[in-house]
Amino acid sequence: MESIISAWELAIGLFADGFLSLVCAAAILPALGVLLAYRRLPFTAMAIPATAGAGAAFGYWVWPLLAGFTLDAPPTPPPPLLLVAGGLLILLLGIAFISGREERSGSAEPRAAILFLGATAAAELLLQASPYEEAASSWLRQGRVLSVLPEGRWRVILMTTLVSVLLLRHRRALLLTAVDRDLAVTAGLPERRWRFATLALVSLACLVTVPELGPHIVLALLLVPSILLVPRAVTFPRALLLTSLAGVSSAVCAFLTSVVLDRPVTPCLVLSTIAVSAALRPLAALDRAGAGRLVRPTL
Amino acid sequence: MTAHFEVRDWLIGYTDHPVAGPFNARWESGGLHLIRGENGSGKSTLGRTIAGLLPPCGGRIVSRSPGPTRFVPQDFGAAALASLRTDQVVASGGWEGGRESGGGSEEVRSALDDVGLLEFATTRFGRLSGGQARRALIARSIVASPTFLVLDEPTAGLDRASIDQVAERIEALAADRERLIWVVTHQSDWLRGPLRSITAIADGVVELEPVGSPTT
Repeated sequence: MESIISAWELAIGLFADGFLSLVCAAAILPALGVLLAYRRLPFTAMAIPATAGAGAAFGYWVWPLLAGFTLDAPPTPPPPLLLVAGGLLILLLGIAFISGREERSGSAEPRAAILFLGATAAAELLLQASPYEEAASSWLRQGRVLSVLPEGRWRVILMTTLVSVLLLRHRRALLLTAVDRDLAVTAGLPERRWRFATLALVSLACLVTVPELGPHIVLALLLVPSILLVPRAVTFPRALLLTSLAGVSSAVCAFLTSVVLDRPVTPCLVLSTIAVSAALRPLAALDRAGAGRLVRPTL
Repeated sequence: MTAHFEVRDWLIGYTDHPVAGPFNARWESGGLHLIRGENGSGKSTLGRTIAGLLPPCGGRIVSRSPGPTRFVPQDFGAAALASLRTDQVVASGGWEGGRESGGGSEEVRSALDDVGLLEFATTRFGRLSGGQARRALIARSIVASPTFLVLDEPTAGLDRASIDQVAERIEALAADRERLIWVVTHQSDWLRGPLRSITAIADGVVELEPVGSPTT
């Protein structure tokens, strides 16, 4: 036990920036995933981090060309802004691909699945073609949680704060348009505008977190807690709070497991997210009120 | 104060596919307004257009009373609602413009009580029977005290006992003179309560026939 604690303290001391970034992302991404789960957009939830990842890979590929890389001078790491900008570019192209007439008829999801596959393949090719090959490919598969820099940590914290404020402020509109379009429209909420707002929030979160943590971690946090907990959650607050709790708990568990067992964080996080979310399912369905007694159902 | 909704040269349908009209109509509160027609005649399209869920293909709204609108859909099997507690589903009906306006605990309790479902407040929506789910959606629609209420085939797929329960609730709602209620149905033999007008749709022609006088 003592060795675990000392390993934990050492890891926190060494990788505090990565740990904080991971916890922040783990708090906000599952809550955003709830909106996508209520909208029944699992492939979109997969496609957005994948396109952000392809954009970052594009940044890895294009930066040495822009910076004039030569064999004598190894390329410097691409600036984070370039990775985010690359992500934004590819993401906008991706959203244009899945939007349009098909989206209104409810068949945007198959296109999102194609986008996910295309973006994943493109990221792999771009990273292989970049001079960073080994390191960049490792980032694609395992992220770089342990090497997040303080600037990266601040970007994630800033994004988490901004998205949290917007999510809390507009939670009713975001949820209502997600669960019932007709009710939302009659309640004066333009469904298309709020669908765009939802995708914009998810995109912002992915654009900032993917270059720091890697696409797999972001995808797992966005998808797993919401898919496992939303179908059991009896109220909206329960869905939002429990998915965030699952995300943060998974992040702590994954970090601890990774440090103690000396294994990469990404696969540890994916598995711990599945395990923790599954363990919280009974809590999502728990009804403290009992039959016939109302607890405050408002949000 | 009575509520009214008046349209002129209204053409209903989808962007490039009008299904009925043009027609003029004025509906006033103080009873039920029946919209009837055969399957595929466009009666649900008219209901959705009145509720603002579809834009009209032509014509305009001449005047309408201020106030919120609610639409009770024919299909209540939305998977997204199934896991939620019934009181949560009802509360969401009060989020006018994304703000809470009538979706507080007391309003939810009152709306559930009105439709006889208070004891099912904490039951998951997906576990309600067809009739109960329909009544829960009526409770959700009235929690915001709407001025305009459109009920699309409110008894579709229900057994006789459930139809009677829904009819009883609609009759009670019709007593409110400040609320304008349309009931879209192809069979109206179950309908109780004061009838103000019948809007019949057949072969693209919409005819409004006033019936009776406002209830007092």
